[in-house]
Amino acid sequence: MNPALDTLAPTRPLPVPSELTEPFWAAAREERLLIPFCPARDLWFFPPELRTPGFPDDPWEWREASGRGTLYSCTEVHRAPGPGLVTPYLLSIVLLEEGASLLTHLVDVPDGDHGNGARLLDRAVRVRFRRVSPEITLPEFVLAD
Amino acid sequence: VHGREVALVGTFASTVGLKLPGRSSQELVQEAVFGAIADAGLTPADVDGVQADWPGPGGAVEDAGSWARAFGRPLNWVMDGMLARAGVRGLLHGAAAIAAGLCDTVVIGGGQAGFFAAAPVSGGQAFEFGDVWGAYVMPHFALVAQRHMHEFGTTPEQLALVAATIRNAAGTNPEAAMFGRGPYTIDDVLQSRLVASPLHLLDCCIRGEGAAAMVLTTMERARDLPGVPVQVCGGGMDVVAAGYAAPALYREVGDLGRRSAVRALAAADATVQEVDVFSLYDPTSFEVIRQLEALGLCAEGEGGPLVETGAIGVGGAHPVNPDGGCLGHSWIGTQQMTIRVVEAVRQLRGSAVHQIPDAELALVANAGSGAKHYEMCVLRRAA
Repeated sequence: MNPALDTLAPTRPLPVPSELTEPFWAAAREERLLIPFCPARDLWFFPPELRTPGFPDDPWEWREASGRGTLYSCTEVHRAPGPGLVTPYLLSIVLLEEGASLLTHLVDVPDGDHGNGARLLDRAVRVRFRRVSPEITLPEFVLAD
Repeated sequence: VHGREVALVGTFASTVGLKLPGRSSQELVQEAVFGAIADAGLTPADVDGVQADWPGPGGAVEDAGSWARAFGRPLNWVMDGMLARAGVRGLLHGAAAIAAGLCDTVVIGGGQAGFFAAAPVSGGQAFEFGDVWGAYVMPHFALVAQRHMHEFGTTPEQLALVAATIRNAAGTNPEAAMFGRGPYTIDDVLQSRLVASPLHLLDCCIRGEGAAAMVLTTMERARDLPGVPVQVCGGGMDVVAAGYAAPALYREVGDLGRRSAVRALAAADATVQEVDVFSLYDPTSFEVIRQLEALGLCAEGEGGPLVETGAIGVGGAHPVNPDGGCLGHSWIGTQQMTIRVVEAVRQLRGSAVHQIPDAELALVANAGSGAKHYEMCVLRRAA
C-alpha cells in the first residue's frame, strides 16, 4: 500500500467525478481549490451545476479560490453513516471569502473546550489537502487564526 | 383552495413500530388504502384518483396502474413520485386536481415494513460532495441547529425540552411506537449519547415501519358521507434547494415555511395564533423550534424561550404533535408525512388519543432535507 494514502481510503465512500466535476478533482490533486465563478454576476458558487444558479444565461468558468474562509457551521459527528470514517469528526460548512460555501471537515483542531464544535463557528479557516486515493484529494480545512 | 371546495373524509394509520415482524410493505399499504376508503364510508369503486405506493408483489412496482386493477375500475387521476404519494405534498396535488375538476375522489398514502436497518438514514442517493465527509440526514439538520444556537443563544436545554415534551406524548400514547418509554426529563435527553452536536440520540426521531392513507373528495360529496368532513382550507409549498446535494445553510433555510404559511393562512382566512393544534415535521427537536419562528408564532431566535413557556405541550398555547410525532410516534419513511395529516384529522374529529379540547383549526407541515422543502396545509373542521 502506498504510505501516502490515508489508511481509511479503502472503505470511505469516495466521490465519483463526472464530466461536470472532474476539473475540481483534477485541481485538488494539484492542491488547488477550483470553484465555479460567473464573471457576469461576480458570483462564486458550489457545488458545480451545468448553468449558473439563478442566472442560466450567464456562463461560468473554473477559477482558483484563495482557500481562506470562515466556519459557518460545524457539527461533531459521533455516529458515522458507515465504515471508513473515524468518529468523532467535525463536519463543517466553510464560507469561502469569495462567497461560495463548501461541506468539509475541520481537522487538527487543538485540544480544548470547543463545545463539541459549537464554539468554533465564525473562526477563520484555510484549506489543506488530503490525498485519499490516486484520483481523489480532499479539501479539508484547519483553523487559521 | 380555489375552484371546488375539498374535504378530507377518511384516514387510516396502521399499527406502527420500530419493526413489524411478519408484515410486508404491500400488505400494510393495502390495509391503509382500503382502510382509509372504508373510514370515509366509501368503496374502491367510488375512488377515481390514486396517489399511493405500490411496493409489490403483484402489479408493477410503484406503477399507479396497479391500483386501477386492484380497485377494479379505470382511474381518472394518478401521480407517481415518492413525495406525491404522501403527506401534505400529496394532499395538495390531490386537492388541486379535485378543485380543478380533474377527478372527484383521491386516496393518498403508503407505507413500509420488512426492511428495518439499524444504519443511519442517508440522503437516499449518492452525493459527490457529501458522502465522503460522512454527511447524512442528522448531521445536515445539526449544522442548521448549530448555527441557530450560535446566532441566537438557543440552548441544548431548550432543544431537550422539545424532545422530552413530544417523546412524553408518545410514551403515553398506546398507538405510538415508543409507547411506555419515558417519561424523559431534559437531563435524560442531554445525557443520551451525542449523535451529531447539538443533537443527542433523544433529540433525533426514531425510524420504523407502518402505513397510512387518507381520502380527499369534494366538500359537496363529503356532506353526504357519515363522518365529520375536514375542509382543506389552505395550503402551500416552500422549496429552496435540492436534497442533500449541498449543505443547508441556516441563512438560506432558517425561514423555510414562512412563504407557504403566509399563503396557506391567507387562503384559510386565519392567523397562525388561531391554530388549535400543529402537526409539524420533527426529525429533530431543533426543527420544531425553527418552525415556531418560521410560522410566525414568535420572532426569529425566540423559539427556544417560547418552548420554555410550555407552549408546545398538549395543554400549551400551541400544541405540537400530541401523538408523539416523528420523535416518538413514528417515522416510517416518506409516509411519516401522511401520519402527521392523520393525527390532525383525528384532532379535528375529536378522536385523538391526546385530544386538544374542541380543536377546530389545524396546521400540518411536512419537510425534509435539512430542511430545504416544506409543504403545509390548514385544515378546519367543517361546520
